[in-house]
Amino acid sequence: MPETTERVHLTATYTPASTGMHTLDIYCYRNYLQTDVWNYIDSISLAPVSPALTIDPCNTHVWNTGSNTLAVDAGVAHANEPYIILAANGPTPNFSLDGVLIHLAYDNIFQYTLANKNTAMFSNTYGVLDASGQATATFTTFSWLPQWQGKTVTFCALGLSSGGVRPIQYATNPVLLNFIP
Amino acid sequence: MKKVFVGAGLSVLLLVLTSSSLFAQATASMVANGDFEQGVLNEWTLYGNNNGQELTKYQVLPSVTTWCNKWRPGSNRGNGGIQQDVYMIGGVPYQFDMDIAIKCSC
Repeated sequence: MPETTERVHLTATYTPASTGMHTLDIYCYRNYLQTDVWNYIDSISLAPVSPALTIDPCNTHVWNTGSNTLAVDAGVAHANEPYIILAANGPTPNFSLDGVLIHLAYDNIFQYTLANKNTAMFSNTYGVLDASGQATATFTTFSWLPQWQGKTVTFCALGLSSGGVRPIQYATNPVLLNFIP
Repeated sequence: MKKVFVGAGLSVLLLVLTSSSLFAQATASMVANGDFEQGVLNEWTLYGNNNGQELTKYQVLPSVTTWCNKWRPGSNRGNGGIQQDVYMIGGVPYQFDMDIAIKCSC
């Protein structure tokens, strides 16, 4: 039998009905008719269509040595508009500001990230999106904030009005980051 | 906890998300270790019958050899999967993307 390989890119959108943890499940069906079959999954990705906030590495931050890149993609409709990335202890209890639901708790970490935007720890977390409506920021931890160790911190980006002020235009999805030793 | 379900096999290459489908382009991901690039299955939970599953290198994209999650869904294999939890906002559309190669001696 000749050996053949088919390469496929699968794409779809999904709109969850509820907010919270969802299970992404990649299932391999048994094929009773064929035995000489191999499936190779190279990459799996999931992201909000727009505006979106993603983080790399995803989910984990190595305490005291780690660095994560936060990517904002608000689309060309928001090109050259100001943004800010904030964090909190979790996505709840969330709150609304200027009619926009923000999936962050208004807590001490929220206030800390607001006060320390564009510092060594939160590089480029406050600025202007590029012509594509995108921006990248960096989150790095240092030994001088041990109270964050062992926490799960949630990040969210907000679109601001011209001049970097309120009213808030939009809020992205939250991304959760677990701190590991 | 809700389930977002994706199935992959040869005879039926199935993508099921519990809502509507359309085509667009995402740039980054919320999925941890979605590219298996360290050759490990960290962040994923294996379940079911995983006979024939392993991490290996393969050219899923032409001319690019990378780490992949390999399945062999033969008659005595398959019926298993991998899963991980992601935090999603209700009412917000998310885009799912997956690159897969299917090799067959048939």
